[in-house]
Amino acid sequence: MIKYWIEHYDKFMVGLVEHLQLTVITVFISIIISLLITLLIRKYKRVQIIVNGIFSGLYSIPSLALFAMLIPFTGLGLETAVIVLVIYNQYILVRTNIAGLDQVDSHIIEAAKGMGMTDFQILYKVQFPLALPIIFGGIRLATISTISIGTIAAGIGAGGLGRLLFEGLRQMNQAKVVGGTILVIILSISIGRIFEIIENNLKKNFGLKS
Amino acid sequence: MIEIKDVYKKYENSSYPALDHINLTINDGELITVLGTSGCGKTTLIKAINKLHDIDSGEIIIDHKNINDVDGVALRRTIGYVIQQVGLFPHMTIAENIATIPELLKWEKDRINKRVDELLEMIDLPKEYKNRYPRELSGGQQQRVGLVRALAADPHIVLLDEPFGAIDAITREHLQDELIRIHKNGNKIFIFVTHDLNEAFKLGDKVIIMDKGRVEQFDTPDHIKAHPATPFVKKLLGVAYD
Repeated sequence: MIKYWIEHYDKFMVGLVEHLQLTVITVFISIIISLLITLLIRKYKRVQIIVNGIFSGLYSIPSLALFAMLIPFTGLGLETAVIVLVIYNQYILVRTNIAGLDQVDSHIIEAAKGMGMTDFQILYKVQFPLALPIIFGGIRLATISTISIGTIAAGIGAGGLGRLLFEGLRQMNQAKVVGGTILVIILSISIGRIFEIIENNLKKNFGLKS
Repeated sequence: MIEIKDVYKKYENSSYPALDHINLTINDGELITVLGTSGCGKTTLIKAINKLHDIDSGEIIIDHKNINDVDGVALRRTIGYVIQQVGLFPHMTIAENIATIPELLKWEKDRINKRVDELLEMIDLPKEYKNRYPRELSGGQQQRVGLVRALAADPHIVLLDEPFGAIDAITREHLQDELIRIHKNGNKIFIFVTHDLNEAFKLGDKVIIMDKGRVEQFDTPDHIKAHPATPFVKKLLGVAYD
């Protein structure tokens, strides 16, 4: 097996790079959209229940099914994969964003309001920075989830490490399957670890215990 | 000058009004303490002054302007506000905390830096503390920073809601003395809420004694002691001076 890995090193690297690409694009878009949704919920409290309902519903749909439903509209490939993964991520991100903002000490918010900050200023000067460790925790979870579910995206032509897994299964090539799986695991763990370090630094700087 | 005219506020689920037709006038340069037990309306009163609470009826007129006609956010930038839990921003340095309102008012950097240095001196905090974070300071130091943060833009009125409530007795005495000293150095109105009778009488040029949303008496500490106006005040004094 290891011989295969060394000889076909390039296949694995292409898969890795494609997977990273998929992950980075997805997480980036997911963060922006989740922040917009969060701001919406902050402004119109009633929207929260609807939003939670929609995304928990969507999250419970198996990824292959969601891909299949979207293909008639957005075709095969990266675009569909990114859309589905971004939708899944909202379930995690919106909840952790809100949780992060809500756990900021109410006295700090009261002091900020009493000093004459507008609601928006309180949000971006005080609440958001203090919510950052928890928000980052959500981003970490969403990223790992994206790496994992992203392997299925290969099934609809989005490439990535999933391609190695699918090919390996089809061709009965154990080296591809095991190799692909190991790379997914390594990717997951290392990115998870990087995020953990960032989170701990944030917690330290903001006086919260880590 | 603050004129409170027939101010009334009642929360739906309570048995008595939070503010029951309050009428008072507070003059420039006075340090007024507001004394009462929980639920008497003292916090509601000061929060009505900086529009953190609105009132059902009546008027609050600050320097001849009805605060109804003033934008809440703009008003609060001209009134200092200190709370018991301080509420220093943990993600900002001491200097950044103190500079908060001047930054909101878009002061120039130099002016802000100068002011921060001035204020640290006022509370006897060494310059090194500028770049420290709130968690590195003791409770007493944090409270002093909180006070000075409220004074940063040199407001004419400062509202203090039981600021020393969570401080140990010895530090509290020092802080009280410091507050008196800081107040003496200007012509500001300080309104200081407390449930501690000794503190109220020590600090206040005049004391507002409140119970169940009503003002029981509003006078100098000496006059109150000599002529308690209501049975409630008599009882209050009896408790402290027996």
